[in-house]
Amino acid sequence: MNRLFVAIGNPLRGDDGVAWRVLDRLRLSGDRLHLHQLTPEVAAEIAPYAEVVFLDADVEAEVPVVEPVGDATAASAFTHHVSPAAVVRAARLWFGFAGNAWLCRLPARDFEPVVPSSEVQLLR
Amino acid sequence: MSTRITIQPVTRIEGHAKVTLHVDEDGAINGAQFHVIEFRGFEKIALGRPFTEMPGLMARICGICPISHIIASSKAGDMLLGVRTPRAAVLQRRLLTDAQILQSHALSFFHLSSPDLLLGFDAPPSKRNLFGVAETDVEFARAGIRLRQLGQRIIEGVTGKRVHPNWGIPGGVLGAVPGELRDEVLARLPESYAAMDDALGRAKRWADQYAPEIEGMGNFPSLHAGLVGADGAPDYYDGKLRLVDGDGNVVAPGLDPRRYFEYLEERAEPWSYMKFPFYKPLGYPNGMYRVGPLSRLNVATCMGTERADREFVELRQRGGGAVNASFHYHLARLVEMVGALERMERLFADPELLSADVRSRAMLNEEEGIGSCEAPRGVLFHHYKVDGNGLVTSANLLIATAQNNLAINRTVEQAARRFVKPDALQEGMLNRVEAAIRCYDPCLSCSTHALGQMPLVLELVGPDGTVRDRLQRE
Repeated sequence: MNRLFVAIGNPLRGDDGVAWRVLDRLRLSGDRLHLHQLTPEVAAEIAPYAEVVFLDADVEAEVPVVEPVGDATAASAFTHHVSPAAVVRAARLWFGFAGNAWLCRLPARDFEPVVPSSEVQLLR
Repeated sequence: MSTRITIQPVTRIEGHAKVTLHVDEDGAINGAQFHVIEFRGFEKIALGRPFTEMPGLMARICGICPISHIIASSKAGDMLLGVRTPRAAVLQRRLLTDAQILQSHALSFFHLSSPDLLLGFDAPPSKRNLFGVAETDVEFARAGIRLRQLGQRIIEGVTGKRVHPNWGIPGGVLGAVPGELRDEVLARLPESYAAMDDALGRAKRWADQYAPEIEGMGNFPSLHAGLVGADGAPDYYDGKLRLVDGDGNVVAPGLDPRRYFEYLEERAEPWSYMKFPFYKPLGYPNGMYRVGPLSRLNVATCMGTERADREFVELRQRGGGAVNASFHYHLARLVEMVGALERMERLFADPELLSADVRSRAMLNEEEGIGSCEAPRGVLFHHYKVDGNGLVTSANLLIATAQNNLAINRTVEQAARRFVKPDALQEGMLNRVEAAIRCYDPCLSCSTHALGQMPLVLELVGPDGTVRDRLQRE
């Protein structure tokens, strides 16, 4: 499987870095990208892949949730950082991305620069 | 009874701000303020930390131009060590400065400003974004992304990370440039030059098309400041600070950036977290000066590279002695992107760029260090004082966007007077006020050393201080 994992977050800000740490421990095969935030040019980078999995911290997630990335229906402001949906939409429209895209929302609570709490739960 | 209009948040800029427009009893705009409403305080965070940590810490000020903060901070560290930085490290710092100019300007022009320029200032807000641009011209949108991607790829290829790299240090940098990166970048240059030719052609047509916006979005004489080299070209890494006035007359031919505090001063106002720097000899606020792409081209006499020189000559013909219309920041940004591509091509042709001799080592030898460089938005200063153990006792950061603060406020007022009709508010009017701000590509996260995006709020306020109308965008 031609697969790309994209972890989004700041590893110095507690649970915000949970996606990085989870990705580092995943044993699934695929290329890996660690980013502080999504930016428009990521659209070009995901385009060659058959499957893209975004991992991101989410304060609304009670448990890890994996769901398809929908097409961005409302026009995004598309400024310095963008949503997975906007990146996927741009990749499809401008760079010929024809694969599947998933978003893994990881529970996150504490964004202070301390040992993350959610990660302990997740990796247990 | 007069009224106040507030735009909050201002959109498609970096950071949080709002604009207040004051309206008099006759319904005319009689004042405007650009408020920056966020604060982080890196100058305080630095206190008590070792100066060797400063490049890594200061990189965190900004996700768009961390390289500039790393370089200014590293240069201040060079001064504290009292060392001469190896040539290979200087070449590397210059390379990443140009890569950052490329990616940051691509973001500003293609992603943030081109929706207004391509689709029109009165286009529906839901269309005024990069998706709307792509619906009109997918190749143009794609080219913008590819250019930014190239700049980011060079930064990542050299440092291992595209944002907040652990790369710059007092005395040099941490590693050598990988040889394979040179081949990768050189292979992409023809495509990049072609994309720039196309973008410049469009920008020149827009510069001819939007006469009212050119006249009404920050068109006034002011000082312009920027670092120039001995050849008269902008020097993004080093050089002396030159100031010219609105007629292009040289006010100061070559000030030492390490003595910036002798000729630049910052003033605080109670209604904004962003300070108001000014040129001391002219006082406050007459010492208002602009920095950044347009100002760099106003103080320079050439660009120092073939393609950019051609565009430089053409751009300078849009003004008298100096080009004072802030709308032309857009065009100046493109000229600088061309120059950055050409300089990077030259740098990759220098075999010493790949040298591993990139660090000078020493103990602490000075108590005060000042580093400067040209960030994408203008000249940047980092100034540290340390104790005998190398712990920072004082830090002052003079940021490009703050240096444009007086000019941005003047621009907002001019744009409001020109385009906003308080008794018949329309979204396109307010968008022109925002677009006037976007000419400067302000980064409020940097300038207040603060956090976040830049949404904008616009409020209409009467003479009694009551808010009569409010427009807010997320």
